[in-house]
Amino acid sequence: MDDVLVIGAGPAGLLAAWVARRTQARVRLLTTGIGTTHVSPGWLSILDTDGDLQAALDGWVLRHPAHPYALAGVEALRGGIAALREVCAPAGINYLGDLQSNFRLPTALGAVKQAALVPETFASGDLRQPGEILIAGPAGWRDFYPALCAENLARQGIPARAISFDLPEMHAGQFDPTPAGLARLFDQPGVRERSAALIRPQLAGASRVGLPAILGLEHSHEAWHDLQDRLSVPVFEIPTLPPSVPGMRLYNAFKTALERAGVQILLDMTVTHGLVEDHRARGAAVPGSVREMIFGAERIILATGGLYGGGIVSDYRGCLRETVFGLPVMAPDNMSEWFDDRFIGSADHAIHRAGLRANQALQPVDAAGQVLLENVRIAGRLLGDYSPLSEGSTEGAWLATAYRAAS
Amino acid sequence: MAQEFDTIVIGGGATGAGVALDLALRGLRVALVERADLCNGTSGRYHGLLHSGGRYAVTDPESARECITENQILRHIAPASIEDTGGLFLTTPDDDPAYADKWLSACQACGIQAEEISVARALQSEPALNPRTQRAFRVPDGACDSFDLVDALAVAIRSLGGSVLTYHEVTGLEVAGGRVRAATLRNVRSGESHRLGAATIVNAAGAWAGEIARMAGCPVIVRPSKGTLVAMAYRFVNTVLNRCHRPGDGDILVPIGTVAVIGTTSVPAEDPNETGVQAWEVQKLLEEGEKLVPGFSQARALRAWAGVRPLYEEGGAALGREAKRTFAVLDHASRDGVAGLVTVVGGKLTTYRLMAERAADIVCQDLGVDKPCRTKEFVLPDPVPPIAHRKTANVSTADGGSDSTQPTAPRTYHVLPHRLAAVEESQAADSLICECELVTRAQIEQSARAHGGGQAHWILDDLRRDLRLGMGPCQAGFCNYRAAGVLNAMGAADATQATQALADFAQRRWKGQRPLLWGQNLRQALLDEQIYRGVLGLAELDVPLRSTPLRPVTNDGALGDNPPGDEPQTTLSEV
Repeated sequence: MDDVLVIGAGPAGLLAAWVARRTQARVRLLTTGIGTTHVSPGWLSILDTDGDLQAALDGWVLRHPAHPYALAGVEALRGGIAALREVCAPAGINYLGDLQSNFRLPTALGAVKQAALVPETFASGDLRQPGEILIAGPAGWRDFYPALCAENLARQGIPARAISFDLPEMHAGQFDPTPAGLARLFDQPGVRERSAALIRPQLAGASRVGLPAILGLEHSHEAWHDLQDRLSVPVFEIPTLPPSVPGMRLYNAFKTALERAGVQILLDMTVTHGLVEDHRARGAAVPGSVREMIFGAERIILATGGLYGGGIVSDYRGCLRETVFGLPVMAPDNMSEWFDDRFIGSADHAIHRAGLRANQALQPVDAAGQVLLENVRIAGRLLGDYSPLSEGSTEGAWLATAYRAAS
Repeated sequence: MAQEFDTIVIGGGATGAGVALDLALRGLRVALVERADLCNGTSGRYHGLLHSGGRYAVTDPESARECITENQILRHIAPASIEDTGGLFLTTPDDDPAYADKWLSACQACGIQAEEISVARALQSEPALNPRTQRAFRVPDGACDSFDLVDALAVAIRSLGGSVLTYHEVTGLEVAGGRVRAATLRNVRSGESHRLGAATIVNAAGAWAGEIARMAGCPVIVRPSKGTLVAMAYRFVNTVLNRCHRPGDGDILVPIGTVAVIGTTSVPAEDPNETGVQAWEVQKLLEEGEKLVPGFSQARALRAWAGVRPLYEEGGAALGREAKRTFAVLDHASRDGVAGLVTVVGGKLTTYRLMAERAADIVCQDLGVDKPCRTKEFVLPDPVPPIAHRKTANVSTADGGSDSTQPTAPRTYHVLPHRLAAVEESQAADSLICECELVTRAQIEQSARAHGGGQAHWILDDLRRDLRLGMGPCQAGFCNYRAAGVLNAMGAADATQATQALADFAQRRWKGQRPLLWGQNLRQALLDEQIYRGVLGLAELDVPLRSTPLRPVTNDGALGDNPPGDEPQTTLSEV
């Protein structure tokens, strides 16, 4: 019998397991597979705002009493950020920024996104700083187009130009063309040395250099420092198509920290149902070769994700089901209202607000507010009543709710 | 006055292409005119079924006889487009058991070889069938790839000296002295209009035939009926399945290529351009599919689309399923006093050749041409020669450059095993832009050059029709940004145009996914949104709504001299 059983290895589950371990003896994590770290840009979005972030958050919580920030509280958000820093610092991932104001960061398409905290390898990309930006990338690589990025930035009034440099390893037979493959190349000092030698003569007064987020996987801190030293100007990373190298670094940092802290992470363990007795969860069941395995626990943190992560499944009749305990899912009544006719437009898709209803302790509750399972806490995207992409709250929501659920 | 063409055929579907080929084989100078790409209308939105005629044996024996006769002819003349799956008619527990005997004798009366087999044998050959099936009959149904068929027709027309003008819309017909003289065409890409003279005009515009006939003052009332189809991610079976009952919704399942297509519905359509799919239609199709193949509704549905049947009955008023599936050939000389104009409308893809023959007979009669129809014997070229395109898939090998010059028809390169072989040979996985459909960077560059005179808001969808870009399970989530980046990098589109092309393509793929968003497709859509919105920030960019012309690109990929907006004069030539 564990003290705490965490289900799900997305960022919410990982952070909840870390926070829980600080006070509990036995913490175990069960998961089907890896979560949304690998499709995340790498920065931490809390709330999109052009002004004071703290003030915007306070106002937001007042106006949206069912939002995860209102349930968990802004203090939990601060707690989550501090806990994340504890996990990441030993891995050389240092987050810069605070809850005062948002960075403005370029995307691979040359758009501008906001984020409150960023890994230091992203920070000099902040577009609030003046100066010409040089966007550089390996020539012919399918996942990053420096000219498209720079041209789109330039037409928004941001001085930017583009170059590409040859990476001979890309023409080799065994080349792995994914961002992870490129990042492993940049773990090698020789690759960095050659790339820097090709970029340096083209600096021509540029104040900083933006590269796709492939600057090392195992030795990213060293890779970034090394390139910066060789170029003598600040260097920053720009997120690429998945798999996200910054997301993989984050996952690896969690894995190392949790294993060191004695938290067992069991992959390929899909919980098919929870065991319930008298409004309390007794444990979780996982199919096994001989018979179903039961993992008993005093407390369960459900961080199985939403419709993308797999914590909620949907069928063609429009039925939504929470996969472990069959908890009630809030959603628009009519399936035809789930999505807008325009895919990427100004209107938000109503389905994003689908999810579980919870109280301030993040216990699952019914429509009347009655607690459904006393010793279960909900963390991350499984919660309803918020829309991370349109609010710019993707990372803030898991930081706050994971911390609250595990505290 | 000598005319440029003996006949202009309007409509780039199977019927129009069939008429143009028939006339070209009789020695006439023909131009096939289509307002968009070939197969853009009903021919490209159909079920993929080569009818045995069994479906119509009871309710519409004339159509049934036409189907079985043409079925046998098409197997001979278009073998490359047809997969001989055979078909089964099944009496499931949901079907009236009394219907089967009536159906069987109707098939015999129509000359359709229907043979009863034991349910055990049916289940042995198709284990996914509903085990509660009560009776099973074999019929000579098949699967037909209409894109390949119409491509083959177009290749044949061109080889006989005919013209195929895509993206040319007919905006007017010129009638003088009781005879049709010319058509006014608008080049949809350049916006320019031309007069094209011809001795005769065949209106094969399908659901749009009424609009064309009206341009010559002839009333033709087509009753469009919309049918929705859903492609599932698996074949399930290797035989076409039909319910043995009175024709209804969702009672035919056609395995074609890597997918199975379930259909259809039948909804009267006011406007033939309205091909939206309703949620109830998809649910109905999946529930009906479940009766043929248990577990069907739980499988992944890939895409939904609708086609518009051009139902027509001279003097009739029946709608939808009650309307006959036969066709009509209208000689507007005797009917409306406009000589030289013939409308062919109604029918089915299976009977396109017969429709074409009847229309061509009237044209020849009008022109005094005494040549017999040859389409029953003329075997169509294979649009996918097995080896010819392998080298074009890859320019990045050392010797690839010289082989990559002129693809005969890039859009026919649809067969994944060919692509896989080319990719394996090159060992250049980094050049794969669309991983689902194995589309390489070289192919994108080549195809973009061929479309150089186009407009940004079409370009990626045109590449899709050429190369199948973005048609796999991820529905362009990954390849859209890559393809837009390649267009920009090769100089075919500036950043604004490339971004607009990306936004436009994302929205076009959305249309096909939108009715199927549950289960894995819903998860895929959320991942794609995370990429477009979360990682790339597409929503933050001010993408202009109006498209701008692409910059001209010369063959070596360098920018041409013509600045945007100063396009070279477009002349009438093959696109």
